[in-house]
Amino acid sequence: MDLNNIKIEAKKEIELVKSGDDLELIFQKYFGKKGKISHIFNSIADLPEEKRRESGIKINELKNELKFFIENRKKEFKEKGEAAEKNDIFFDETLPGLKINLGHLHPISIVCRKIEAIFERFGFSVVEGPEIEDEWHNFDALNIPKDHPARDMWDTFWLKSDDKKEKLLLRTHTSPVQIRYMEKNKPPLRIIAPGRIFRYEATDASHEINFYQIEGLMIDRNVNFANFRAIMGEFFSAFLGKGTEIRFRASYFPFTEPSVEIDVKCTICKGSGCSACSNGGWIEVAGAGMVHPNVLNSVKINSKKWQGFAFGMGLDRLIMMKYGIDDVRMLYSGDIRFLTQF
Amino acid sequence: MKFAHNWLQSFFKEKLPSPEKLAEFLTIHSFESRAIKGNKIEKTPILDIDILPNRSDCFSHLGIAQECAAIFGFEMKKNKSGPIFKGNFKKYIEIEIKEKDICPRYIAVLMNGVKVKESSPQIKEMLLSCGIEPINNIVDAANYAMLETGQPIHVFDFDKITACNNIKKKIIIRFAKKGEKIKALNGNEYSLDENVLIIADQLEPLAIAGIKGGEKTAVDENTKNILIESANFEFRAVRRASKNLNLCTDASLRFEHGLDPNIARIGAGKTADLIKSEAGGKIVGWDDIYPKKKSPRKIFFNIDSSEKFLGEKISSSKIVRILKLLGIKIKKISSKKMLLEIPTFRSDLALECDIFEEILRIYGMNKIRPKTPEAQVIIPRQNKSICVEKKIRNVLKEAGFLESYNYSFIGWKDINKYDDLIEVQNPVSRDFQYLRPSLIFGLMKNIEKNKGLNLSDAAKTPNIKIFEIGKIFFKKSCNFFEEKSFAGIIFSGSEKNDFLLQFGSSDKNSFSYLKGLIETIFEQMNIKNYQWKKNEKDNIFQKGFSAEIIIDGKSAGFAGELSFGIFNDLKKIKKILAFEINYGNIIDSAEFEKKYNPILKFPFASRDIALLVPKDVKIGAVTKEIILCAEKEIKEVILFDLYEGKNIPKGKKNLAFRIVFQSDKKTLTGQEIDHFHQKIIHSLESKNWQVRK
Repeated sequence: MDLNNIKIEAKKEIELVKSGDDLELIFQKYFGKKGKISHIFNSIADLPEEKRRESGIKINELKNELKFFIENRKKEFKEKGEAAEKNDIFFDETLPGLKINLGHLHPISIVCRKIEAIFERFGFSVVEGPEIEDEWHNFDALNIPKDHPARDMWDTFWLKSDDKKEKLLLRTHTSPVQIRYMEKNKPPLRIIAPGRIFRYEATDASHEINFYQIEGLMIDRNVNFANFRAIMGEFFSAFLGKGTEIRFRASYFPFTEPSVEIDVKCTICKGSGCSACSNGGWIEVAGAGMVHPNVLNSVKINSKKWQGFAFGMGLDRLIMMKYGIDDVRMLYSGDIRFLTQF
Repeated sequence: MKFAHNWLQSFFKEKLPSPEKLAEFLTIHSFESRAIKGNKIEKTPILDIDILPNRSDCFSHLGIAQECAAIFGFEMKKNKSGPIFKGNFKKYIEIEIKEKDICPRYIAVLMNGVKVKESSPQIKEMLLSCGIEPINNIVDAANYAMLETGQPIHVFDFDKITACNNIKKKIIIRFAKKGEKIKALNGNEYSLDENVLIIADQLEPLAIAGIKGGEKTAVDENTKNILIESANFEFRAVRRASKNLNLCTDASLRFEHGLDPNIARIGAGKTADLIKSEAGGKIVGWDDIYPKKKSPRKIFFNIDSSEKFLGEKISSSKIVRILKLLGIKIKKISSKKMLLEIPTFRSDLALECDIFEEILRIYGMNKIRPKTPEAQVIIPRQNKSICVEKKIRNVLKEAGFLESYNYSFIGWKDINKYDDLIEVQNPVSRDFQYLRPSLIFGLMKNIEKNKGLNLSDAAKTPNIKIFEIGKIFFKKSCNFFEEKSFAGIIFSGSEKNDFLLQFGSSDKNSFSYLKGLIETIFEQMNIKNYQWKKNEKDNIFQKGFSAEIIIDGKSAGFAGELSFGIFNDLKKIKKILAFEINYGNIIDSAEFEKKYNPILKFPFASRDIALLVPKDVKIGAVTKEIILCAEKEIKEVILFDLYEGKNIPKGKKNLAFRIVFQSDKKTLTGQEIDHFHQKIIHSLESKNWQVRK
């Protein structure tokens, strides 16, 4: 008899068998003393030596295969039997899942990492600077004129000092990090500097006395305004999603020339005007511009050879946009109901 | 600042866009602007425009009109040059400027026979719509001229100027003397000093220069003869005086931004014109003291540089048109080079890049097509400090902590135990008076906030575990320092704490959770050189119930129970565990590279040992004793039980260890292990510790 036919037939029988006892019968049918397998083994006894060995291997393979199938079926019958004994247990898949108390990172950390990762792709290194600053780094080196109303753009926390030393302050922006970095590094430069900044002002839903900014600086031989537009456009698409619309508008910062504000089309109303964008359709997310030659000169970088752009983004504003948070004070509230959402 | 739409319109033949549209254009090209619809009080539509601080020329309708001209390509109507002033008034009055640097120009116009009354309705409406209260036709004319030209104007009642000893009247522009006083038009009296420039007669101050006039020479219904002042004052002096006197006015606002002295003549002309038509009278004479005439600045401009800077080709004809519309005169040098003559009112234009900005904002920044930079490839440098911060953050998150960001400030209530705090000179309130010397204060406030909350679902856990990473601040011999720090806090709302499970729920063991957590963080950064020491210091951690962490021989932080004395608001809370580590010093020694250690081929075996020791025996000492018995073969000594109390003799504690034996050279036989075990028992017993068999 053809081995293949035996295999197909046996498999079918094993599959269709209904009980453990019937399975035993099938086992006997094939592996019993007068079973089919024994029968085949006997039938090859007369074959010539070479053919006999060949057939012997094949029959053995068949034998092992069928035994494996029968064993598997046996296990199934056994488990079914055990399950039947346990049938007074009721399994309820609607039982509530026990949640694991995972830790949560703060949205400032999460968003900061995202932004860092995007700029690292563009070749920007992440750097840091001190939160206590001197007047020179925070104002003078940034071309912010003394005794001019331009200085009023930054309401400053001053620190009390015992002696008549240089007056120190809490940095009002991350821009001094640019200065500190340029003092120590030669161009070409590409950095971002996230960090906490401080403003002396009354707090409300959109103002805090400490908040976060991400500073960026790119200086190279030929970095121009069109490049600046490209990098900012790429960033906001990567951060807020493809197709995010941005616009530049004229502004003034003493350390950039030209200076711009960058607005993002409101993600909530798509530009038609809502409470989040105070009906303007656009949300201001960054102050930026081409680095003023006086700033480069103040750190001894030749402004005739090097040019580039700088920007400062309000991280809190970006976070609020990204998650739809309507009050900046939530970020510093430490409220568990807030912290566990991220 | 408010601007009337129809006032702006009056400068052009062409029609300006609607107020809403105009606001949009100005926002993109010049300044953030909003249109305010006219209402009952302000009948004309208004634009509220945030003038940027470098544009002193735009605190006027004239300036904004100039912007509109450039944006829309409109030609401005020719300025009526105003009346031609005639006559020398030196026989009536003399002007003397003592401080020529602070007062570069002083125009005075004497008019006779004016009739003071209400202004015409159009004038009043314009003033009202721009937020200025009408007073009388003389004062209103001065204000109107200021709103139109940007030049602050002051009018004196000529007859009230004192002439001493019956000689000629004299106006003196000088610094005040200390102790001099002036009663200003707002009714307040101001004490002056030598930092304040004043306009005085021979007797006393008549006005605070560039800021406010005095009551003495105020124009009233009986005024007949007036002296119009249209002067220029240096911006720093005005700003300082205005700050010192705490007096900010429409005039000081304009002067402190740096006003063009050439605008003074236009302002004077406009005022005299208006007074003539509103109040009659006749110009008797005038004087204009202007020794150093401000001349236009010259800037070289190169089209190629502009293209290199902007990254976009803008045709030369377009550029020329934009510059002309801005009032800039152009002298061509070659096809690419020009010499630009900047109008004196644009004091903000000094460098070539300032011209690039002008071209850019009028042409339209959003028309510049983005181009990928052609710059060399720079591989971002890895910042170790940020890697360390990230690692700490990740471990704490994985340990189930919530991250919080708190204020960098603490209040006066928090400060006992600290005498080296940095104080803020101008705090927003006493609760934000000092810079935080520790992150624990903020975390405690988080606990305080959350313990009272009616927490549901996910947030309802027996423990609140919160951490923060941030800067802390302190003072050392008058120098200010800031340091990176991370801290965590565990608040157990109930008796049972899940972090205690490993040793049951007796209090003393909770420390082992913190210790394990911190050691895990160190392990992740391959920091090995640290020790734990009992905290002997009197700080925010409870003495005797907390440990000090020493890294590389230096104190790096603390872990354990917090001192209740400090956080007395939280007396009701049973126990607060916390840790704080200043990690600035470990950044350099942190190491993130990992290496694979081959898995040991030979099997391990373990033996348990239980012993009874006096309560004050340190577990570290017992472990050390065990390890010394077979340093090479003992892979681990695990404490799995620590108990004192019931069934244990007083003053003793029960310890149970599992000792894991494994050799990296061979399979240890049962005999060998038994031998080590016996050695350990022997060694422990020699210390008079009772091994339980």
